[in-house]
Amino acid sequence: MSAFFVRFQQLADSLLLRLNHLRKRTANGLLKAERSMQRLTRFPAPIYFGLWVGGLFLLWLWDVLFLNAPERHLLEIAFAHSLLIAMLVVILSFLLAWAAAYLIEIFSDRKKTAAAGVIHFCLNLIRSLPQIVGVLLGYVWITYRIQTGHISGTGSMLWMSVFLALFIFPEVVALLRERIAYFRQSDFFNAMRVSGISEWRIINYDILWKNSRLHILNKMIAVFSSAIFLQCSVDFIVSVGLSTRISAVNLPVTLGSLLANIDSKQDILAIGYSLSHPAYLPNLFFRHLQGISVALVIVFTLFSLYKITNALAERFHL
Amino acid sequence: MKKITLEHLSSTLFVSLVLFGLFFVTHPKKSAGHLPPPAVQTLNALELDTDDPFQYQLFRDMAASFAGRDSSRFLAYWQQMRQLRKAQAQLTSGAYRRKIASRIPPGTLLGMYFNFIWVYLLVIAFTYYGVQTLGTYLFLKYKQHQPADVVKIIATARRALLKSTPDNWKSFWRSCAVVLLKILGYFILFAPAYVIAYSIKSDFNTESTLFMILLGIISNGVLITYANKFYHLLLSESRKGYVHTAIVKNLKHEFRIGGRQGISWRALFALRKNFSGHVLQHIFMNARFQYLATFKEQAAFIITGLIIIEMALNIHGHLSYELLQQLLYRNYDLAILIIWGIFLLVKATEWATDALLFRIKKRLGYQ
Repeated sequence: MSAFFVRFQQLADSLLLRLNHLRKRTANGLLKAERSMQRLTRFPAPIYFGLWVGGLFLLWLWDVLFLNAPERHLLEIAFAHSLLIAMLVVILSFLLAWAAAYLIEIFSDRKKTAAAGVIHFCLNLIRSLPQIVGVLLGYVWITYRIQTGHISGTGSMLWMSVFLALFIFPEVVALLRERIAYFRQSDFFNAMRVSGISEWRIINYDILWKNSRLHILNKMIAVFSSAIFLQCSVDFIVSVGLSTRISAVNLPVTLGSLLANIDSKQDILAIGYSLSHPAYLPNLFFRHLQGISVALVIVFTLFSLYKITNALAERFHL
Repeated sequence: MKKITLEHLSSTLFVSLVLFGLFFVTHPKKSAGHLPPPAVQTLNALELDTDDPFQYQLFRDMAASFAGRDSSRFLAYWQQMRQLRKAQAQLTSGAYRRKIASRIPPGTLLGMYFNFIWVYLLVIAFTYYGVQTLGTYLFLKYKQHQPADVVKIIATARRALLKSTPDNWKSFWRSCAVVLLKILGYFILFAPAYVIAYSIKSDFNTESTLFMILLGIISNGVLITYANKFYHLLLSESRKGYVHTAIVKNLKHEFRIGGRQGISWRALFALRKNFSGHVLQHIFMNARFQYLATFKEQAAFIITGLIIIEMALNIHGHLSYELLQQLLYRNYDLAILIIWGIFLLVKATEWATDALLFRIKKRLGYQ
């Protein structure tokens, strides 16, 4: 009997020793992790980008496991459409902004104040109309054109991006003009001019490309975020408020319109229910996946993009 | 000042003229006073089928045999009768009835407009305060040079593993809870209003105004976006030379919250923020001046947020909901009227901001 106790004590001691060893090793590992995290958090933009992509991938894996195939397929299409529209908005708003900013600079430089004034006036007008109203009117026009057969369902995506870009691009114009004005004050602008370098090259290559790339990149990420937010909101509104007319036409499914589904709305409502009935909480991750996934994709995307732009601004003092 | 007013006035006048032109084009014409000629009324009373080619041919032959060369007059009566039937059919159709029923009197519309302005002013006042408070708080936190949350969690976990005391585990769980709360807070601040709203309740009515104000402040990313902007303004101001000079001249420069040398919670949450004796006072004043310049943009964003809330939540009896309804029933004239009202509100805010900036600049001697 005593031999058994001795053996038991030996085993317990060895287990404790191993546990202690494991604890120390974990603590050492955590120290290394802490140091590398400290290093990484000095410039967290790539981490947030990785978190965004990784988070969306994890959500997709979860949906593969627990969301039925037709609904998951719909979610994938909606996400792809929303992403595509937002990308188009980024490209179009940059092109529009670049053209407007460049024209203002050229007209101002050549003392054509009336022409520059007209562009200013148009930009101010666009700014004075709340973005959502302008985009909503654009959507009304798109649905009308779809009903009359002038636009196809896919073509409507391009038009959606055009209207979104039209009401977002003044923000980009402001940034480009601010950058150009900042460098115009410096000596290098005049020095390059007297050296015979064309204004086209100074503005586009030396100012915008060489010295403002990061500013523009940061703004474009913000534009992408705005496009996602506006697009989701308008699609939601159109699907909820204009449903009787929209049912007659085929607008491409996006995250906003998917969220406006009665099923998704029920799923979202379940969040509130689980706040008052905590036992219901696990159901959110299995039974209410469609609405929860759509809402999570929207909010997580907006949050991650905000964090990325913020990290870029802090790191490069933008 | 005159130049600023003139600039805003000219664009307001231009847009108002364009919108009024569109209003009169889309405004439904009154046709009640124009009765068709007696001959058309008599023809209509015969209850002929205007779509029947046989009846039309018969009528044409009769007109030709009775009136000869003058038969075209009777054929015109036929056309007028067709138009009359069409108008009568439209009047009795469900869609037209709904269109007429959805039209709201201008008085009601004006009431909704004033309600919208009231809500807007409240939201803008609260966000103005919220942006400055949250922005300053973020700035103070940054200045304390605290490690990132994830680093804090790892550090407290390591400490708890090395020395397993209740206090160490408590601080580990506390840092985890703080991170979870932060994530939840960020999710609320970034969530579109309709996601938050539908996760709380399913139906919204005119009594939801208070809820709408709350959503207008915290949701759609308004508060966090502009608080972050304000934080960056504070940050860039704090790097300027005058701040270092002030520190050398012995002004208080500890960015701790609380304590004799730091910033008190009271000063941070005060409506009129005053950090006198501390270097933050000057940083704050200069940052606030720059923030005012972006206020126009924020106002437009707030209006966009409020419109989204009213439309997406289908709050009956509210201006944006009515705008959606008028668009749905194709009462474009009323929709234009509502858009004009919203445009005037944006313009008024822009003018007020420019005027305020002008006054401040004048006071500081920049004008």
